[in-house]
Amino acid sequence: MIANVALIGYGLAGRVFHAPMIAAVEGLRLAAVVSSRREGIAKAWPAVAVRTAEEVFADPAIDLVVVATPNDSHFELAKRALAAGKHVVIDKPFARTAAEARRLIAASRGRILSVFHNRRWDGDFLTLKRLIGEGALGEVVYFESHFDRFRPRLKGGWRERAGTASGTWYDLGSHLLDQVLQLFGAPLGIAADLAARREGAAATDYFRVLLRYEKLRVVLTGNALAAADALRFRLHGTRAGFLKYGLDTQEAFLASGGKPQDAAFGRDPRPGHLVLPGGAEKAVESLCGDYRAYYRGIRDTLCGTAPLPVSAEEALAVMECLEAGEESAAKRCEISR
Amino acid sequence: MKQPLNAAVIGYGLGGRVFHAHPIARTEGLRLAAVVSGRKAEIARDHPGVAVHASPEAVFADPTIDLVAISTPNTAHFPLAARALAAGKHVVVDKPFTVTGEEARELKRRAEAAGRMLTVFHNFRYYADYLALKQMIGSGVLGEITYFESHFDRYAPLVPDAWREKPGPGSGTWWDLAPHLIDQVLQLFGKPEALFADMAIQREGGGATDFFHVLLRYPKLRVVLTSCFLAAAEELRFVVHGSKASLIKYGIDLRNGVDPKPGTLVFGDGAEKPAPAGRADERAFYAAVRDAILGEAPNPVPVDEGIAVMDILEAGEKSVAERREVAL
Repeated sequence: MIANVALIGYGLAGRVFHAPMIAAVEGLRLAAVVSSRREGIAKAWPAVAVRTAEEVFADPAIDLVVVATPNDSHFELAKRALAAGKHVVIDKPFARTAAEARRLIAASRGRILSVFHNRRWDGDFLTLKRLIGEGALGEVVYFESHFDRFRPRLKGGWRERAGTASGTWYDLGSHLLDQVLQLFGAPLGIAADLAARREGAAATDYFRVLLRYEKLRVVLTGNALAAADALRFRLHGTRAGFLKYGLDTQEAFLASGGKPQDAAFGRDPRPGHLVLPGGAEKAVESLCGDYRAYYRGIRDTLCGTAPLPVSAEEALAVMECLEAGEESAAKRCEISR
Repeated sequence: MKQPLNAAVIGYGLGGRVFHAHPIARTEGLRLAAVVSGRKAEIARDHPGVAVHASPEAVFADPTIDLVAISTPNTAHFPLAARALAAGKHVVVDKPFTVTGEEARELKRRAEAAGRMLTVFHNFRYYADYLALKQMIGSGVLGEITYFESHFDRYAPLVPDAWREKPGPGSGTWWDLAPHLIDQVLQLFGKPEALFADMAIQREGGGATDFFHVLLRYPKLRVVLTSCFLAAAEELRFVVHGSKASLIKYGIDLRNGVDPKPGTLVFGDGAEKPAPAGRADERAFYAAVRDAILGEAPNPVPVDEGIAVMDILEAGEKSVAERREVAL
């Protein structure tokens, strides 16, 4: 069986992540793209039809609709796709609000509804998950996850505009939250400091969010004004610490024209560092990352052979934490469960 | 030549031994005249000829003693400092100044009434890493500072049987180590608008705070003070992000000599270069105390600066209790 996929949106997410991943997975066919960027699509995907959303929804041959548009249109498009009987994948964040996400879940009866939390397949995250699972780190008491960059000037675009679900907390924080929920489950409390700090910034471009567990503390940070921007993970465990520098390479590899089939795809040249008490360090090569795993999971779910790679409930939990972060920053207090 | 000032140290734990008696004995113009402690043999070995008293009363009653340094468990700081001032002594109190802001303010009143110098031992102002940092911030090499993170991490999974590790006022790492980090930040950036604190006991069998993560909010700048005692990767000291460059500094606790681990400057284009290495002199604090007593220089840590640190410590406790940001 081949499932026909229509991709709505051909910005960074559609072009760099969804189209190449869908095309690279056996059993999925990129059948249509909905976008005004006709030229770019014709060049990269000459065999793929460029259509309107209405045409896609009305086409009984389309099985799966992928929504990779600006965050504020996720809900409307996903709702219409579900109403048309399509399976739906939404790029993160799920929707503008947790309430919207719940409404989509209610509307998804019998259809697949999933969110593209691709960073579960980052090489460094897979490696960290393995280290924790093996017990190499002991009990984890502190975990810091970074998405720092040095982009002192705004570059324009919907991500930088004010509004619900805009800014880096929703854009990048959603990745970091999903990873943490996968590792440690739901926290007892969330305390967030969010700010728009760059000249002329209207949307959050800095976040530092503390997730409180019993003993464990997790810090998520995104900072657009960090010249030393390489730290990714810092973890303290009772048996060892773990440090990882450098972001997973898949996005940059794909954005610069690399293909998922290339041997270098998913490889991370910067190993992590396991630090033992006393300071001895051991390099830990990262496992190979692979965002195709998400779409393989979607295909297998469509075939009925596997559960969803990211369930709608898991993505809803991310939305609830994003909202708790907004509420915490607005009220300047911890939001407890 | 002028007669040296006679100093007495009360308490001969780690603080009294390493941070007070040792530098006092090495500072020109000061004489270590007496130590109050039960550790007679140790003191006789470290400082032969120095009087050892079992009770602080002997020091307060001795008219030849000019200066008393208090390095006892934190709850004893206030009563001992009050008695020393009443006896006409100049007083250095180890950090934390006291265990409440009210005690600190009361000591200020008493020092003013007695006309004696009162100061708090915020010696981290004289550390190599901090001096280099201050110089870099002043020189503008980092640009405008938008983020500053200061660490005091260790890997010490076993909880020792010590007063610091038991519940009670002024115990735990927030009161023990944070005063150093707070004082440095107040010196660098002034008073924050607000503070959000999180604390925890992470070690098996711990009785007092051994983890803190405290966010100080300024209009644009954010400051994080943090300490973890289960940090095998323990060496990080400063992370500073400025509009022109970042500074990453590893290695802690350098109070004397040239810093063997200067930081790294990372610029916006990714270029890196070694940061200048600071140089510390462990006698600097007590040399400044001497000059202040002699009227040749201002108090190195004016009492109001010690009180400002206390206000942050108390706000931190309040923030944790209420799980909300506390405005300052």
